[in-house]
Amino acid sequence: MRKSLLFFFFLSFCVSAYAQQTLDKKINRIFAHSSLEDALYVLLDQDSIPLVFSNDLLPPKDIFVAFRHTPLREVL
Amino acid sequence: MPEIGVGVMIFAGMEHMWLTIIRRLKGSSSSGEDGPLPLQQEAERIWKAAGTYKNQAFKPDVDAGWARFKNRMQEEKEGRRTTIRFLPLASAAAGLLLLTAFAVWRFETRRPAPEWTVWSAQKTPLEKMALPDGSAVWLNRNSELRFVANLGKKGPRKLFLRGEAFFEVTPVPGRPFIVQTDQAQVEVLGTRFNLRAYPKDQATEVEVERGKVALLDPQSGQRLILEKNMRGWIHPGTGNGSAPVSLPEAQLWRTGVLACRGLTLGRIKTLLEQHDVATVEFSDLRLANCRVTGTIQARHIESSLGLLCQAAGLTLQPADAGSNTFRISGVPCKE
Repeated sequence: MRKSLLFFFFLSFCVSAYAQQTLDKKINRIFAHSSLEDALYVLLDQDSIPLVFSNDLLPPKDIFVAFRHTPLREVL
Repeated sequence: MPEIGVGVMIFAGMEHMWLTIIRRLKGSSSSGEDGPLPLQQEAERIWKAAGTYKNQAFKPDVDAGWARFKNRMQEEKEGRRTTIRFLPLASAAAGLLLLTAFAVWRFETRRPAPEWTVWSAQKTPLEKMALPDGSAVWLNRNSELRFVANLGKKGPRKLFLRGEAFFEVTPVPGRPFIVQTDQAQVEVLGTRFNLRAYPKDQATEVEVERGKVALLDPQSGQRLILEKNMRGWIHPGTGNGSAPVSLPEAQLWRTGVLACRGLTLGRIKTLLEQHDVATVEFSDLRLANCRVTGTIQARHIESSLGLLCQAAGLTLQPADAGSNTFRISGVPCKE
């Protein structure tokens, strides 16, 4: 029982640590006149950031934004 | 009177006459039978006439007979000459015919029948099988791939597929790689592509991951050129076509992963059901138009599909506990 609890806490810590690591990842990108959808695809494919979203809920606007060593949590 | 009766009467009359003649010659005839009988008289007349025949002069026309004989000889000779003139030609023709027949027979008997190699996957897919030319094949469940042993020595490398397979083709100059299905033919030079052609689908679908392939519809003669990240289909019922794909969609059966980039839930449903991962039902058919982005893991279908639905503000519930049928419900997305 004690071992199981220890394993559970270790797993939670790992998942949390992975999520924190991902959110702390630094992003260096410039999105000039690109749609939000395309910008998210770039983060998915080129920065290997696992994202899940509904394409229908994204605002149909072009964005112009530059990130320099910006943590992902701030980008999002 | 019937003819048989007449014949019997005549025969009976003649018998009586001959008996009379014999009796008279023996001298035992009765007095009433004296005097020559009509038939006896006639017989005596013929006998006498036959005796005088040899005395008549017989003068045959010898010259005319000789001429006829010569004519007949000449005709026979000419006939034989004609036969003799055509005899060598006929012999040569017959010889040639025999020689040809012999050559054909030898050719057919010496050429060995092609040996077929058949790979068949029933309940479990076959992973990365190496073809004799260095190409690799992944074969999905309930699929069969057939090809001539060693893929032949020259000419096109031809294979026959029933079911679904993923090909990683090694380019060989001058030897195109051709996969034949029930409805179509796919020709490539060197590429990675997925080919689906289950008999139950009555269609052939190709998705190109790398390189370029030609999808040919033998019935209409239409030729679709598919490049990287393109999907093409030959469907005798609904028609042929092609469309771009953002990421490989058809390899779920092989990789266990479906990367969705703005895929509709309807398309996700089709892919999950095509590859026997899960069955999806919608509470409202308009939900099939919702577009989502994310990754579906076949091994964790409930959690990964549930996450996508959650992002779209929808709810995913299993139809029954432990079953692979899921029901998606919620407010339809904007169109």
